[in-house]
Amino acid sequence: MKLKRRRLKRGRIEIIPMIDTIVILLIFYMTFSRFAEAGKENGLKLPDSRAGDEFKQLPNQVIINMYSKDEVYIDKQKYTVDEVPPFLQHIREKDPRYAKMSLILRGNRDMTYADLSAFMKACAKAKIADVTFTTQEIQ
Amino acid sequence: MKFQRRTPKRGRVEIIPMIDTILILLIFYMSFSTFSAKEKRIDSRLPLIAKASATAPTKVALDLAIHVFNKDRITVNGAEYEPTGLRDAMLQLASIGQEATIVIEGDADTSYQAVISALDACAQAHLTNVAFRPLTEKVTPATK
Repeated sequence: MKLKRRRLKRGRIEIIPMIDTIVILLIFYMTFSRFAEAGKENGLKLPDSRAGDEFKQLPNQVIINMYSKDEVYIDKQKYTVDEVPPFLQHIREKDPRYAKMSLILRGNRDMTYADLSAFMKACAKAKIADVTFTTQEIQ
Repeated sequence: MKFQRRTPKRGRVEIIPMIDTILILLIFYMSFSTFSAKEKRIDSRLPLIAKASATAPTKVALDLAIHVFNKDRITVNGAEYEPTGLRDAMLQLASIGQEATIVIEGDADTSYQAVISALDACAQAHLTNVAFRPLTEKVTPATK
């Protein structure tokens, strides 16, 4: 019996699905690179304000995400406010970029002045005077 | 010569590319709606408490002391202001002298939002020399 040999299909690159895939990957990476921006906590509810400049982070600035004096996040790591000065001192000694360190406070709108006061004392302990408060533009 | 007539193709809605497109649009709008809450920054210079406590309070150029009790009660050098009227009061005070030093203080249970609203009022009046008084320090009346 003579077997019929299948003719091999000539392979070709499908352009349109490739473009679809590339666009999806592009949107995916664009989105998550923004979410992962410089250790921002996404669950925080920032206080509202009308004044203020556009948010930008300088190389010598460290972002402090604060829910209360017992719940402070720096680069996704949880600290208490008392643990912040030694940590800042540690990274200041380790990285010359932070020799003239300043802080960006992303505080939760529900925290109290007692929490803010504890943060200010921590700043004084770490000998940091430049603090930027992050707010959310009133819609 | 007899021409052969082409049979028109029956049009149909392509479901799979439509789902692809809808998904991409959904992801796109979901992503960018997250960023619509624009973040802003208000710069300040905190007093170094170690230094501040070493100097006598009379040496501090204290022009305006804003005490934030809660979101509905704010005093400026003892005079009570409506939170909405604080900005106008700051603008009025700023017109007297842009070099005014402002010290914001609050009670232990004052909300952070109320404190930032006071800071916002100062920023809107272009009063940039703002400091915060931590809770442990005693509130002293304004002295020149």
